[in-house]
Amino acid sequence: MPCALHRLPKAPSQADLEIGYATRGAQIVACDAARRLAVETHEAEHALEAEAVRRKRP
Amino acid sequence: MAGGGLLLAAALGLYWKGRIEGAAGERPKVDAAMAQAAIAGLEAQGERESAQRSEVVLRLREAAAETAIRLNRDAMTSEDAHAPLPADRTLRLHAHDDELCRLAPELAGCAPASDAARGDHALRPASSAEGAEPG
Repeated sequence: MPCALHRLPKAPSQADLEIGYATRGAQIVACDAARRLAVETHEAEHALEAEAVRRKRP
Repeated sequence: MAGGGLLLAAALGLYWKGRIEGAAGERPKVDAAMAQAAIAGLEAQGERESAQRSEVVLRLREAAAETAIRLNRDAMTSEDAHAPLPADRTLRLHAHDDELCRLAPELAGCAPASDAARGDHALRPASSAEGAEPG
């Protein structure tokens, strides 16, 4: 799933600008968390595979 | 009497030899089963840790969305909430949005080329809850 980019509406108000700023910040936090989860899951899978191989060796 | 003792000793010897050889024959199977059990344990541990990581991310996303929703509410009740942005600022910001979407069109919220050409900048709802989703 791609990260999200909030965009200003066609005829923005002052509130839209403020909301856009906050929304993009929240999007960065959410997107970075998803990225980190993917990286950590990938690393954990590799660590598990390596450990399984190590334990299978006589 | 002595013959009986010899027979008993021979029988015992055969019995123990069989036991030892049998155990040696079973050893690889036991080792394989133990390795399999250890791997199953590792997999279960991996699944638990993965679920914990997902839970942490979910909470983080919810917290981020909550802060945006709070600000959204405050922004909408501010005195100048509905005052339009000056045209030059709006143009700059729209151009910036368009440029970002040109650079990364796969981002959620970026309009397909046909919509962008129409200048539709409001395809993505301005809701903070949705906007906080990573995609």
